[in-house]
Amino acid sequence: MGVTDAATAAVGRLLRAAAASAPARVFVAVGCGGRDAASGLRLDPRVEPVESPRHAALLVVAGPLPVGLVKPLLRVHDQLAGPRTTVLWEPSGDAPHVGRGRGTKPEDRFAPLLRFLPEAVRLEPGAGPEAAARSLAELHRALLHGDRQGEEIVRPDVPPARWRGVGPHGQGGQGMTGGRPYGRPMPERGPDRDGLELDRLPLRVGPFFPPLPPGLTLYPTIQGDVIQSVRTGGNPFDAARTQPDVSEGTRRPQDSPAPDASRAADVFLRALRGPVPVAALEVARARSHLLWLGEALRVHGLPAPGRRALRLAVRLDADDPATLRAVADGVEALRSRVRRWRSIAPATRGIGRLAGDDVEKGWGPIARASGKAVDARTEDPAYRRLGFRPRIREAGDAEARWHQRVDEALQSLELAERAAEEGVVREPGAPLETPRGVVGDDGGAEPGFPLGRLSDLLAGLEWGDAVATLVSLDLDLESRAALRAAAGLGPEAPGGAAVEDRMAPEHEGHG
Amino acid sequence: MTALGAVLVLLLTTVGALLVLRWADLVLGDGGPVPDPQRLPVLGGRPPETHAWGRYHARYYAMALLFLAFDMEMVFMYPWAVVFATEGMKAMIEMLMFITILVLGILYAWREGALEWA
Repeated sequence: MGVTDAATAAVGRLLRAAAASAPARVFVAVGCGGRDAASGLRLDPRVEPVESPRHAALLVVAGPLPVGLVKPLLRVHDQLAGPRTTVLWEPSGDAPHVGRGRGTKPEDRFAPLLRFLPEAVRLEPGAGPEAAARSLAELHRALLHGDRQGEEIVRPDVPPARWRGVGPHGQGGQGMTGGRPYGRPMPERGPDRDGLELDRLPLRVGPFFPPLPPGLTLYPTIQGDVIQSVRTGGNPFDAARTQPDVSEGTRRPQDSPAPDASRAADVFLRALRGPVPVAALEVARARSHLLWLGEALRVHGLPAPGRRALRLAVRLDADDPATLRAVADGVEALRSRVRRWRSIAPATRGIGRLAGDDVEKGWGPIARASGKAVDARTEDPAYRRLGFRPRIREAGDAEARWHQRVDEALQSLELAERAAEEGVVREPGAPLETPRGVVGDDGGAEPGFPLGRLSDLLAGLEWGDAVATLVSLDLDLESRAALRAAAGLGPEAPGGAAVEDRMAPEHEGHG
Repeated sequence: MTALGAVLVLLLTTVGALLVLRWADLVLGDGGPVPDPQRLPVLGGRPPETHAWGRYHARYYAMALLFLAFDMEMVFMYPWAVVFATEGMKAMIEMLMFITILVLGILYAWREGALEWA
């Protein structure tokens, strides 16, 4: 009837208009060079990055993806509720970075994705978070008002394995109980901590899981809440891994987008090759720690202080010394406020303890938070001139690592101020202290916490404690790959078992 | 309005609200049945290895039993509350004796670790 149709149309319009006026919910999948810009997106009120693809209408790919992450991204894409749109964003644009593969033309960087998602929207290369947020809000409105068709799902719409009985009425046969119902096995049993034989659930927590660092895949086996054992997948950003070129089927390692060194490591990679002002290095270090702090606070359930930390990180400007003092005050205020709430301490005290003997000297703030007084800056004449002394903490747990990074950020800001006044420049040659570890040390020491050690550290923890530990370690797979490549180390071994994560059985009937 | 009349109004309002919600669902539409790739659990990009029908140890069982026992204590306190109004201090002392004995039980359970299950 005409009246009902008109009523439904009006209600639909009203609801769509209301939905369109809300911030656009996006799920951000971070690729090469996109992590900092993705954090910047949190500061924009027009956009709301969400924790699960099911809550999002837009899938934002921040940076070109290494080939190993394309298939996981397509799975995530299909999990978004329709109407959905993919947005390809390259925040670092065409800026030359050490480590970017040769022969990757700008239009080719998203080629593997565009092959599967031809309707994906490509933003201007080099667009900042603000421009991206504007485009995302427009797309969101267009999707909701029906001006833009949503994308279809990419993977075939078939169940993993259809249940087929043996008898004439579809009954009987093997598999439903104690077998492989619908193509997937049931969990195996194993002894648990109370001496019972209960189910062990093997999980695959994938590369685009928001509480984890982007690109990290974990394979925990959990019983109830407790992780019994953990394997880690390899580092997908390792440039040296030979990866097949999707379009031609031949192996051409230089065509996969190599790790983009824009995440704090940029200044540090420059410092490996030439003289760099100490003020720039220290400001980059402070920015890295503050960006980490923003994400860590968000994961621990404090998004507003997290945004505050991100805002402080964004304000930092190596060329404007006045901001350094303002940001330092801001950080102090933030720390005292979060401390007063007493919400981080119970979640991090005593969690993920690393004893002084267990840490290696190349691990940066993690080693110093466990009482090991090692800092490559003490050997550096430029820093000695500034009277640098490393800050140490004894506890070695997650809380100590939190405070260590905040202390080091404040120390860096102070150093940057003095270095800017005196115009101190660091010469290459000595080992370099990056925010996550030491590079350029003779003896091929690991530049930062290795993924292989995660298995021992996380086994036996509850899931919440495991996430808190991971957050406190400040892992960044992309800059790790770039630093390892710069230090001349090979690709990183996956941890926990000698299984390349591409070979992990993926039970999908049709791939 | 009689009592039954109020119940009838409540019933009709509830049914009406349900029908409005069903109609709103019809209007907004949900795009048909959910395709299989969209049904995969959100794990961040990898498919699940096994089903998630895992049995785990209900370690809070002791706590649940304790709760039941003290729930029965509460049941005893309901008639006492009615009598207390008329009896006064004597009833209060008797209830306190009852509660003290049960509190000793709670302290024993606390010491034995029945209140922790994580």
